[in-house]
Amino acid sequence: MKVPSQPSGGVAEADGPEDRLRRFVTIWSRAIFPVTATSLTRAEFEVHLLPLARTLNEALHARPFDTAPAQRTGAALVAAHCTDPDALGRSLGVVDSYLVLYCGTESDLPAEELRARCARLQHAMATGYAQALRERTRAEQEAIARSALSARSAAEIALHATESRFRAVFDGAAIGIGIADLDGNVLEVNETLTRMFGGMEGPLRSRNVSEWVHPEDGPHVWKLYDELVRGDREHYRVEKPYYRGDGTVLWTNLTVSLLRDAEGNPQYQLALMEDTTERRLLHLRLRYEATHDALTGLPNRTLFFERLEKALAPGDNARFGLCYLDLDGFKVINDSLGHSTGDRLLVEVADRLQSCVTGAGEMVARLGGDEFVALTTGAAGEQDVTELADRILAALATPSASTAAN
Amino acid sequence: MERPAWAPPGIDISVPSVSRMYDFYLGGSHNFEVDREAARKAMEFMPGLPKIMQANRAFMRRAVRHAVDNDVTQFLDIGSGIPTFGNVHEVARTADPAARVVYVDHDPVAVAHSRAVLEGDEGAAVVAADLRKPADILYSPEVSRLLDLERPVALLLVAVLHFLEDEDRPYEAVTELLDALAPGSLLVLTHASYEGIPLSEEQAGGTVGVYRNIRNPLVMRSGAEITRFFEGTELIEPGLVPMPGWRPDSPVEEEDPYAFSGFAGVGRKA
Repeated sequence: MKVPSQPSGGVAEADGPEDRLRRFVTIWSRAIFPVTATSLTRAEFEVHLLPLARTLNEALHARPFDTAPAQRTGAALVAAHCTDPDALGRSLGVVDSYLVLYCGTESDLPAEELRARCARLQHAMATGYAQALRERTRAEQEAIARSALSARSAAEIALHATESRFRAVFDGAAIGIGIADLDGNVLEVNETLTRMFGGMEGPLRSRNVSEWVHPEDGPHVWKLYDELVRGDREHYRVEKPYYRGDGTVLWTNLTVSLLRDAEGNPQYQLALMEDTTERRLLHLRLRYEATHDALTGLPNRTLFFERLEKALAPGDNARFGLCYLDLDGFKVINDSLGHSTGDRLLVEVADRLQSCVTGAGEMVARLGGDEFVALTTGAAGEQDVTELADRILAALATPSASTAAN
Repeated sequence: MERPAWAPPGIDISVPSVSRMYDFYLGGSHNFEVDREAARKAMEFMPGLPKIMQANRAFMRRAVRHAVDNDVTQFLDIGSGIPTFGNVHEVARTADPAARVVYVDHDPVAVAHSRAVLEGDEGAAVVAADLRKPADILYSPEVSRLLDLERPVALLLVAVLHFLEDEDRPYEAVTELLDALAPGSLLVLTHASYEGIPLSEEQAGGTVGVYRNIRNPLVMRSGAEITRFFEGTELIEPGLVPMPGWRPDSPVEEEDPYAFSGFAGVGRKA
């Protein structure tokens, strides 16, 4: 950066008028620089003040005398960011003490006239300064108020845009969304959630969240809920059943999140619910089909071996009993009377076997063809197994109606 | 029942803003009574606050000129506040009319004001973003439009890092910004500190309390802590020093004692 060490305008002749004017400027700048907010250096500031001093000097000697240039000088101080009123007081002090002293020597005006003119120039400077400062203050106040206003409307537009975006998400979501306060009052639900609960918004809105209990709720579900509304937990995810208005059960994957305000205080709870009822039924059905014999409805080989494995599991010291049976001469029936008669016989045998297993740890399964197996687990002793075998033999002793008819 | 709002709260001008307080310290009228009230309270503890702000402005001006003298003519001024006078684009353009400047502030009113001041200016723009999220700054359309990140940029963090608490991860933020800049880029930084203040730490702490009360905590860091911000750069002469001591162009002994509060430095990315 190059700052000229000498203000522009050539070299001033020592103690000539120009030199004296510059000495006046130096005094002036020393006096007010400490109270200005300018980011100029003092040398640069001095360059800035020089034309103002020149104006004052000319006004001091002008014929006819006119104070308007001094008013402009006062305004120029404000423009140079000397907005601290102390800058005016100090400037007037400098003008009062030094203007005539440094700039009045070559004048043919009488000393009293110069003193009077100097005083009037100061009045004009003060007027110009005050007017400019008032204008500047007003302009800046207006500008910042306008900026605050435009920032606010920009924020409102942004708010509106986010609101619309989120409203669209809320309304159109394929999952159910509900918002409640921390006391459990339901504030808002979306259409999907209403549909999930049977289509009526009224009953959904009127019940407190804490009333949505179901006998199959895990013990942790309400513990998590309490932690969340206390603000000790940000979110949780559980599988939870609900009763619909008509008493049927709705199964959901439920995610609950805590919403906090700008200060970080807990404010709302947000629930996202996915209807898993059908999936759950399908799952149960698939599971049933995979573990049961389609013809007889008895547990199949898969389920039997699952149970057997459980009974054999290490650490499980309980005893268990097994009865294996097949139907003597079944092949003859199948060959002579046809497969459908054979199937009917199998179903009847299965029903009879099923009626024999009444205890908690007892099961009977069809392994395939005419092979069946009965399994007793748990506290069963040898006695129980023998009794079960007797019951089975007794059940099968009566001739079958389905084969007798043929 | 009151419905929850979807968006963050809007503009609240009943809360003091540090950028409008800064304007007040500099003798401006771009401020409201809440700002002036907070600023006056802060000045009860540290009457020389305006001197510190002026020293910041003067340092920034010298650093900008130094950057232009060394052919760095792109500026990213984060925490630029309310443009008053002697703004970066004005200072830079007196040295190089083609200089480009992107201002960044998270105060919506300061941003709106900057936007009004810079309207129609092809070489300068303002981004509403937070220093805590450097990616929002670096990937802003204004930065892509105005700054060529393949060439050196002067990153100005003047009087802003002391508003980031340690949990805001200020060191990571500066590193992330510097990582995005080309070699030869400059980090121009000032930071408040208890070191250099011509007051007891207890009295200066009163000012810190005022800023804490308006929820813009002022974090005083030591010289050693501030030096850590320059990791990855080489501090150019005279290093990290009180603001008036950084390449002064007028006699340092003429400066107000308050101007020596805190630190200033310029680092050059290798």
